[in-house]
Amino acid sequence: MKKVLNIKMLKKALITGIALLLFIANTGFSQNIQATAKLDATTIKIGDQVKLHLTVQHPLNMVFNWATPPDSMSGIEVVESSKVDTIGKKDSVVITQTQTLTLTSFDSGYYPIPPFVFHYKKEKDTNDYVVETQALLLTVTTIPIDTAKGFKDIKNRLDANYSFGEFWEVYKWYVIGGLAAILIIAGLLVYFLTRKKVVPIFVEKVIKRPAHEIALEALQAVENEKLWQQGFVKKYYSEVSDIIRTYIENRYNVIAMELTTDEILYHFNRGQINTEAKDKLTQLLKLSDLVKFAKVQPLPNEHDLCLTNAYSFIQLTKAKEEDIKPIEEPKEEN
Amino acid sequence: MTDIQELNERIQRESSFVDLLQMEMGKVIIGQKSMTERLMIGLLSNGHILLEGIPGLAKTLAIKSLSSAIHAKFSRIQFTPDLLPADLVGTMIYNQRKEEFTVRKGPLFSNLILADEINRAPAKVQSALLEAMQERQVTIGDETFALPEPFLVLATQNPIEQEGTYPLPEAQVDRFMLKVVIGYPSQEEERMIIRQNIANTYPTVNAVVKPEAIIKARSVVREVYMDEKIEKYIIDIVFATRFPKEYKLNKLTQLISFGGSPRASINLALAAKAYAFIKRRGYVIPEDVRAICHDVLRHRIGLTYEAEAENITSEEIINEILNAIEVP
Repeated sequence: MKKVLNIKMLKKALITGIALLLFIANTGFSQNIQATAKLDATTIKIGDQVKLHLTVQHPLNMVFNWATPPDSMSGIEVVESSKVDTIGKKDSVVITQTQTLTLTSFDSGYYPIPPFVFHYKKEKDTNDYVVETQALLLTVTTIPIDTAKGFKDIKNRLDANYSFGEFWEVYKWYVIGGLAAILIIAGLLVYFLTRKKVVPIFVEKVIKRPAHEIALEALQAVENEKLWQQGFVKKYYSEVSDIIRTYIENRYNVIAMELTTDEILYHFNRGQINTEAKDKLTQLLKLSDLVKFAKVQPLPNEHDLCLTNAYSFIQLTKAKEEDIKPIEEPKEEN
Repeated sequence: MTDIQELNERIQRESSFVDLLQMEMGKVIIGQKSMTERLMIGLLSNGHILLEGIPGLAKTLAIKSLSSAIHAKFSRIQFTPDLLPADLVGTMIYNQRKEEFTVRKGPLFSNLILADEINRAPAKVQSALLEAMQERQVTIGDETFALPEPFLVLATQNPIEQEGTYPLPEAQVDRFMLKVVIGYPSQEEERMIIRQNIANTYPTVNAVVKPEAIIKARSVVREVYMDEKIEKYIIDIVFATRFPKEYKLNKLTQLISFGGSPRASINLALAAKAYAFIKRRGYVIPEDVRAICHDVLRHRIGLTYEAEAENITSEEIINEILNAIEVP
């Protein structure tokens, strides 16, 4: 019975011993790896920057992965991250790695900085181990505003001294270009103002005559041609009606040559001419249309009446002396 | 002189039905005098007409009234996207009793055809119709059938709601003698339309003209005298649509992609003669040409992208041309 008890006690002591040995070994190794995070200041003013120093001490104979710092943490922005720096003494088995992060915050409050987690692997061991820094707290304070004092405007910028040399360096081409343009304009002005005007020896005079004069002359020419007497009745009526349409075009500024008889007569519905003149025009144009488009052969007295109507229409509608606006007569081509 | 006088007398005699037709149509169509006149021109010059206007302007009613006023067979075909050429021209049907195929003629075998909303049917149906319009005959199976005389197609087209439509190609639109654009009635006309509709009194159109009278009148229309000066005027107008630069219309060069075809000149001359006939004249005057010029040319002038971008219509181009060409 006593023997059995001794064996049990021996087993218990053995298990305890092994566990103790493992614990001691592990603790010893962990003790060689230290990860610390330290802030330069735990309280900053809004917008100020503070440095966070990360330091890890670990043995050389291991695979150590440096934690990649984030771009931002909740409420905190990482402005800058330095490179990871390694410090170690010659023949030393332990090295120290450091990195400095510059942090800032644009809102007041309390912001926790979470622990930075580093992964590593021991020599001849495939297990992944981690070591963490301690969590920190950054306090961001705002600037107290005394609203009782009222708001002040933003200060103006300060003027810096500006030398001529600096001005010339920046604006020299504008100045040169401007001066050149002024010189050119001045030169052109002098040239145009002082040059002698060429007086032409032969001046082509443009004959400007009133519309009715031209029309009456053209009618006279048609009369002298004695077209209907020679059997050219259609040509006679075409020419007389064309003369009257041209006269209307010049006298009333209407595109009569491009209008039909009805359209021309419609134009005179607004009372520009008296009834007598309108009747004569209607008679003339309607008869001309019949001759031109319906093979009508009027009697000789109707031929004369057509010309008489044309003359009368012009006489009745010609502009008064004081209202005459001479028109440009087309020049004959040689 | 005597031949024109004689022609004038014949015209007075043969054109008496024009007034009767207009009177009968005037019973149901209030206003739209221009449209009625154009329908007459189409009827007298054997030319097909494309009517364009927004819904409710009595396009269909006008054509129905015209057909009612003539002792003629009338068919109305509502063009839809699922219409087939056989639905128009007809088809061969198997007769089980006789054990043979027999021809079933389509609605195209009528004197007056109303092709309602022609642009709603696909191209193959439009082609079948337009081919029949041009050839005036239809082939079903191995047999060719001549279409009855007078044969007149009056197609309607809606300028709005272009979605799901098949616009007529230029070559096919050219086969229509006239494209008539229908405008709104005047205030007075609208008042009369309201009264007539509220009173619920719809006068009936009586058949007053026989097809033979129209065929006879057509031969007289072709005899209407057209002077060389008028011919030149027509040619000048059509040529100005093709070569605007030659008529000092340089600004139109950038706006016209193609001008009127020889069909434009033929139809302009023919329509001018028909217009003179309606006006009881045995000769054509420039007024006749100008009166129907827009209807003959508006669908025959192709507009460029620049013209469309600047919202310039063929109407404006025709106006420019008419204002630039000297009237004889």
